[in-house]
Amino acid sequence: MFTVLGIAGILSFIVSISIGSSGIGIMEIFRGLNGDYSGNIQNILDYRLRRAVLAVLVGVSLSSSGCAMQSLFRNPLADPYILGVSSGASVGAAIAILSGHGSSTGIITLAFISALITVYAVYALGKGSTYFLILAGIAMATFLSGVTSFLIYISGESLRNVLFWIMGGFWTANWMKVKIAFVTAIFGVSVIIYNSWRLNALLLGDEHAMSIGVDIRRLKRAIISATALLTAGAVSVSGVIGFVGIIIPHTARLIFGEDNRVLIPASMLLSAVFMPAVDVAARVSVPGEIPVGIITALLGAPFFIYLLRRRRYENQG
Amino acid sequence: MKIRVEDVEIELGGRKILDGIEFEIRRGEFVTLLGPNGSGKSTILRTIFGILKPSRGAVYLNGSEINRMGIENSARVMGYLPQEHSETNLSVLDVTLLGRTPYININPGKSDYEMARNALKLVGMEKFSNRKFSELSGGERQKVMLARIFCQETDFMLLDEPTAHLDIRSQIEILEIIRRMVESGKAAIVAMHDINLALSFSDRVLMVKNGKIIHAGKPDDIIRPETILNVFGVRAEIVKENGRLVVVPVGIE
Repeated sequence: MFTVLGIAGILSFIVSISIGSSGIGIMEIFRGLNGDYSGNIQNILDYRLRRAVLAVLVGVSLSSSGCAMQSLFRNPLADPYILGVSSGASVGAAIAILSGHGSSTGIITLAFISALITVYAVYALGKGSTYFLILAGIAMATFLSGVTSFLIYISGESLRNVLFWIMGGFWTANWMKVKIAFVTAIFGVSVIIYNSWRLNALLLGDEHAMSIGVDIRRLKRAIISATALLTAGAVSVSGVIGFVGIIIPHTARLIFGEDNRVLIPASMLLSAVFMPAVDVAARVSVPGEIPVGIITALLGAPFFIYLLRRRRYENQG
Repeated sequence: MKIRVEDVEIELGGRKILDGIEFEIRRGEFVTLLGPNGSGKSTILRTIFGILKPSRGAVYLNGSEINRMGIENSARVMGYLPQEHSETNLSVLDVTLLGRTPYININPGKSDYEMARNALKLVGMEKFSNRKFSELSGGERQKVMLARIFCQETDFMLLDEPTAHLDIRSQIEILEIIRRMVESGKAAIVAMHDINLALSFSDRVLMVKNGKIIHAGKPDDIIRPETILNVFGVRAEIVKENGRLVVVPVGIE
């Protein structure tokens, strides 16, 4: 099964660098790879390549955080944004754009920092209890989306820029973004994989995890820091791409079961198949381009309802 | 090897949950905490394991204070089985393997798997290894939980109502497994509210009411109509059958 996913991932990657609005197809790309420098093939190849790589990195970051959050909170609805990362990043990005620091660096820096501050604030507010943590996350997200809406309302001409950023996408991919997402992914994913067995211990309940020697507070801190880093990295380079952190882990769960040692790597592989493919859809489905966030939401919500209904039938059966 | 609980008091929100709890347990002993729901049995187990910190008194393992050891170290000397668990689709083998967690760095290795398989054999559940834990019956789940504790290789077991919600056959099977583990040299502190089961399996009984141990001793010495009435608020007759005590409730006070 892992092999199938691996092959699918490679195929999806190849497809995503072979298709685009410029009409340059797979043959030209192969010629480009073999050193044919004619025309702007190299430029297009470079652009599609960084875009595909960024899509994979963001997908891996969001899906692994989603998995970890669902296990940590023992809640299938938990997603990487549950502690307010996305709304924090949106406020940061909106401030950057409106204050005239709308360059790539400006947006990334402000979005990243404000995302991390938000998670820290939520963690401090909801300390000690999972229940309060989730409520604090919801309250913070509501408050910050109010702030973002206000900023958009007064933004005048930059309105479109802010909205486009929030919707999420990879069209502004550059190698600096790839580097940032790569670094946060390496750190975050390592922490999550290192703790995957302890996350299994949580499946039976907090008290059971303690009974086999898992220091729950330390585990919570480690997982929350790792997911904060991963999602802040992903959001600051690509905007708010919704539902990936929920649909990918749940699909993986249906195929591979609940064991986090398998589930987390499987989700990451699955997202490496899914994200470049969705990005292709974003590029070619309409003239111009639609933000990836719109596609994941349009695909994600119906899929999610399907999952819920299926689970209900299973419970009744 | 012994655990000594010394004058332990637990206060939560200004209310005394435990008051002056004091007893000792050594390897090879089956000690039952007997008392009605809410009397403080679970709290005693959680305090011994180190999840709750006493506001007065302490719990000692061979003279050193357990609450200062940290939970990871507690798990290497005490196998604690909480009363409730969440649903999980993990396999039976994986749930058993969780008992190896205190000794595992990142993931369980070959020897851990071997130990888990042996533990499942010990409780007669080896055929269920690959089944989902959530598909098992209550009694089967409890056996897997005991296998998990066996994997933990601890001298002491703290078991919170291991027979709750089980049919009578499963109750006896579970208690027999625990008894066997005790005879192999472990010590068990078991919270229970079924008096007759407690009597037939325990070496010693500690009767708990309102956070205090009010009667303690061998079953033959402390099980009397007065003590049953005192602890459970139930009038009972005590009959002796084939040399064993049987408590027959006849009414409530």
